[in-house]
Formats: sequence, structure tokens, C-alpha cells
Amino acid sequence: MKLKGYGWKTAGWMLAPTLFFLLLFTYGPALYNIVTSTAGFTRLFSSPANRNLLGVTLSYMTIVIPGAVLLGLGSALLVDGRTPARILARAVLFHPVILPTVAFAAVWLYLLNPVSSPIREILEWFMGGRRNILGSSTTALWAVALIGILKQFGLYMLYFLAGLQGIPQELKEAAWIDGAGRWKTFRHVVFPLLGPTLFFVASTALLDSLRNVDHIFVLTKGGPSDATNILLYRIFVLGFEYYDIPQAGALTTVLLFILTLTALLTMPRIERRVHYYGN
Amino acid sequence: MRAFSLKLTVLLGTALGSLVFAPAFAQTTTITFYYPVGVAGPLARFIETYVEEFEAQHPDINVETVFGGNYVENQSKIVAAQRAGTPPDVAILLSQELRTLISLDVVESMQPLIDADPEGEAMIADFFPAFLLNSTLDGEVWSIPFQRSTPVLYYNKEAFVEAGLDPDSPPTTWEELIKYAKKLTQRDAQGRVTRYGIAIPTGDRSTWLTEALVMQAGGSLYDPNSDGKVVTIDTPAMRAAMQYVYDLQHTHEVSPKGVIAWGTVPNDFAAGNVAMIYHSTGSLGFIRQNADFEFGTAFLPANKQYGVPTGGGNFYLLKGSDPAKREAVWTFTKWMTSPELLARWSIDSGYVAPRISSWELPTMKEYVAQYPQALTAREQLQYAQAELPVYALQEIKDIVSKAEQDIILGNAKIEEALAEAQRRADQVLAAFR
Repeated sequence: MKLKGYGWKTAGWMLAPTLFFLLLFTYGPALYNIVTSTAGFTRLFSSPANRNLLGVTLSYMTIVIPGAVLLGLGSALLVDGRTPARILARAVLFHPVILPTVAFAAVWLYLLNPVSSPIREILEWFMGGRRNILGSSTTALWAVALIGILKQFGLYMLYFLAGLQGIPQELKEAAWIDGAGRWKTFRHVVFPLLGPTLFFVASTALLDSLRNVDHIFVLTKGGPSDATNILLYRIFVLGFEYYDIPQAGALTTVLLFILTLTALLTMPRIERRVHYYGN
Repeated sequence: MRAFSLKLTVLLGTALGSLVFAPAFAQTTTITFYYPVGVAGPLARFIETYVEEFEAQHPDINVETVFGGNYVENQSKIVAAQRAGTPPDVAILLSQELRTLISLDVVESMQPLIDADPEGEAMIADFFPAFLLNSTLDGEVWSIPFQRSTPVLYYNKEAFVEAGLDPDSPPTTWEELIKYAKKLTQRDAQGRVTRYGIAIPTGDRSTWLTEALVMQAGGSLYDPNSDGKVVTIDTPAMRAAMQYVYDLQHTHEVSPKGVIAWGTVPNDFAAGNVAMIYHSTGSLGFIRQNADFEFGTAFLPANKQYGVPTGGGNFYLLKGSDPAKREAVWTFTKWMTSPELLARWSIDSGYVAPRISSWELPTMKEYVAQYPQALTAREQLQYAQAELPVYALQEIKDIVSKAEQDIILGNAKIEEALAEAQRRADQVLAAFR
């Protein structure tokens, strides 16, 4: 494991600045949290609000992850190219990503208002009647999930565009010469070569879906009746509003476990570059 | 390594520099002040203006303001800062949080500062007693009322005339309100509602308006003799209150359905889409500036009796803040809660000026003559009670508000939801008994 000309000592010195901050602000607090939160675990499942939590979080993830990834992929395919219209479309689709989530959500709070929404007619047509979208338990989760998707998919589109640009033109041309249409070219050439990008985007989307909660603060505050009370929001409420640190710590440990497991499972695969076109 | 030594040099330099220059600023005391905004309108701007004026008048005191968001967010920030050893010196927090804040060991009593001031006693006597209910514990004044309120009924006078109702006699009872709301609700040819009769906010994890309804039904959401350790959710009064809210939406169909957000309701009213709303008197300023029709305010209608909780925020002294700055803190608090400033704040926002002498000031008299709507909340004080003052306040509020939302959304029957909420609240409060 010895690098040419350099020893462990050099490596240690080079890693030290990063390691110092990682230990101080990431690994240290994480370990501290795991150790101190053991007291909270016993109460974790006795609380009705927590029991509901996992289901809501999973439903939210089930909508957001495929939704954002597919929308990102679809729009990347549509706006890939150099025509001015496509460049403009890219900018428009990417725009929500650079907006602060709170501002983006506040606009939606106004748009989805059941009484004074400026797009009330459109919503009524779309929903088949007047609905208090954020104020009823059946629609609120869909609404916050869709807004979560709209906020984030532009970023995934960017990754996919980068992935698309990495696909050599000659492979697509070869497919066309062999008589493949648009769909077959996509299905058999483009999509397989996008494999690593797709995998990377999917794992990023998974992590994002667990980490992004700002819009919930603005839109529903976990309500109505806990319908949008997802894991990280609940942790915030427990820790910083109920000041129940042990229980917040226990839930943080659960979240940490899920995140770490995801990272461990996906990262090696991403590095292995699962596709057919080598350097 | 070179970069590291450079940083070190800069750090050392700054440290030495501040040592050298520190005495030059020694006469200025800097205090930190956190405040929330709980109602609609550009209220943060008013607060910043007041603080600037205070600083201009007191060159020896420098006030660093921090806008903390809404009440809940602001409190989270303060508790976090205090836990980290850097509490603000003074802050506006909900008056009803007193017991919770004491149990978290975050606040200190203001009483010693009041006692040390020769004018202190007279100052406290000048506050409306109703506003001291949530500020006092065992005869000791812990916090000084600042932005105080009661919920009032806002009603659209033009809509009243249109519906053939007398714009000068708003509904006074629940039955009357239902009758009026029916007349005020407008539908188009397809039967879709174009204007709702009434909206009572039920969102935002608040129980303020629920408490008002319970008081009107002759009950209370807590046992006043339990030292903040017993809430009473599963009661006939609460069942009546929940039935009323449910009926407005589902039986009479005069209110928007589902959970109604607190923050957007004043806008719905000002836009003319809802003819009557229950909201804080603190939203009066926003509605006055945004409604292009004549509107009135009235007491919240009675069931068995009139009744509202007081609400809003007080000045609190933070534990762990520098004792040497107490004099500056008191000067600032006293200035911000002076009759003159409270009158100004009342006119700017719509909050009730909590000092009796504010109402004697010429500016206030002129304002009230022009906008008699501002008098309602003050007159309603005779029916006001303390607002839910229990331990673990936000958790209890969430439990009550979830029960209410379950009822409104049809997820649970009233009896079931309230029994369950009572059980959960008892469990939470058991830790404090």
C-alpha cells in the first residue's frame, strides 16, 4: 500500500485538515449521539406519532425518488442539444434548484390556497372540484412530495445531461446505421451507458428525500393530522420544540443508520462503473 | 503549513488588536435582542425602526436585533443559543410559555429588576390585569407584556349589506353566526362557493382559537388549580366546540373544508373571499391596509358566555446572560414597553396596547376615533382568561390540534379523538407531577 516516494506519514499530514473537521463536526457528534441516545430508544415505539412516522416517510420517498429521477431523465433527454430553445428550457427547468426552498414553498403555499389561489380554476379542473389540497390528509402528502420533486429534479437533469454528453456520438451513429430508431437507440445504447449516472442520481435522490424538509416547515408543518410528518421534521420537532433530546437522538440514530447503509451499499457500485463502455 | 501560520498570525493579530482597542468602546454596552413575528404584515420593519430610535436616544447602549421567525422558531433558536452558552440578553417569547421556559431553565424573573426601579411598581400597575395573567407566577412578574392580543371576529360590512344583514350588528352567538354565515356564503351557477361565510383557522399547530371556543362553551382546556400540570381535553365544552367547528364545514357548508392555515386567512378575508374570520387583533394593521371594503370587528360570538384567551408575546430576561448588562436590558425593556411606544406599536400592528395609560395618549385617541375596530380587542379583555399555561406546551398543543384536525377531516369521531388526546396529554404531563 506504499505509494511511490511517499509514506503513511505524508498521507496522514495531507488527510489531517479534512480529518480534523470530519472528526470534530461529523463523526464525533454522530458517535456522541449514538452513545447518549440509548435512553430514547425505549420510548421510540410507544409514541403514536412515531408509529405513524415510518409509513409516512416511506410513502414520501416512494413518490419523490422515482418521480424526481424520471422527471430529471425525461427532461434531460428533451432538452439535450444546442438549439436556443433547448438552452432556454434547461435554464427554466433548472431554475427551482437555485431558489431557496423556503421561498419556493411559500409561492406554492399561495398557489395551493383553497380560497384565494390565483390558479383556483386550474386546480379545480385538475382535481375535479374544490379541494383544500394542503389541508386534507389524503392530498397533502402528494402535494409536498410533488413540490419536493419540482424543487430538486432540475439538479438531476443536470447530472443526466452530463451523462448524455459523455456518450460517444459514434455509438449512436452506429446504431442508426444498423437501422435502430430513436427508441431502440435509447433502449439499447443510451440507457445502458447512462447506467452509472442513473445509479448515482438514484442514490443522491434517496439521500435528498431524507434530508430535505424545508418545504414541510412552510407548507404543512407535518400536518394535517401528521399526514406529512416525515422523519427529519419529526426529529426537529422532538429536539428543538419539545426539547426531548434523548428521543430526538434515538430517531437521529435511526436516520443515520439508514443513510450510512445506503451510502455503503451504493458507493462501491458507483465506483465500479457498471457499464459497457470503458475508457 | 504556511497557510496555517498565516491563519494563526491573523488570529493572534485580531486578538491583540481587540485588546488594544477594547477600552475605546468600554462605555458602550451591547445587548442582544431576539424577536418573533406572529401575524401578517411587515412587523419586523417596525421593530427595527423602534430599536434604531432607542439607540439614537441611548448612545451608550447598542442593541443587536435578531429576527427569529414565528414564535415557535424564535423560541427554538433562543433555547439552542442558551444551551450553547450564548443566550440573548432579552427576547420576546409567548407569554403562555412561562412554565415551559422555567422547566427548561431558560428564563429569569423580571421581578428583581422591577423592584430595583423606583417606578417599577407603578409601571406594572399600569398594565391591564388580563395581560398579567400569563406573565405572573405566585405573585412574581416574570415577563413584561409587549405584543398582546385577543382573537376577534373580522367581518366584511359590504358583504353584510349585500346579504341583507345589518352591518352594525355582527353575530353575537354561535347560532347567529351560523345563520349569518349561511346568508353570506355565495355560490355560482354550478353550486361552487365564490364567497365563504366564515373561516376559523385550525392549522399551524396552535390551540388558541380552540381555547376560545371551549371558554365560550363554558369550559377550559386546563385545570387552573393544577399549577400547569393538568389539561382537560375530554370535556363537554370541548366536545361542543369541536361539534361547532365540524358543523360549520360539513353540516352547514359555510366554511372552507379541511384544515385552514392560520397565516393565509387574513389574506382570504382582505381579498373578499371570506366574509367573516376569527383572527388575532394583531392582524388588524394588515387587514386595514389590504381590504378595499369597509370592515368591522366584534367579540367572538358566545355560546354559554363570551370568552377568549389572551395571546401574544412578552419581554423575557434570559438566564445565563451577562448580569453586568442588566441595567441596559432594563432600560431597553422599559423603553420598549413605555406607554408611548406601546401605543405606537398598537397603531402600527393592531396589537392591543397592554398599558392603560397608552389609551390616554392623543395619538391613540385619534387612532381609535378613526378606527373604532381597534377598540374591540381591548373591550373584550373583560371576558379574557389566561391562555393555556401548561408544561411541555408545544407537545400538548400538538396533541390537541391533532385531535381537532382528525375530527375536521373525518378521520375520527369527536368522542374517540378527544379521549385519545386526553390519554396522550396525561402521559406527557405525568413527567411533571
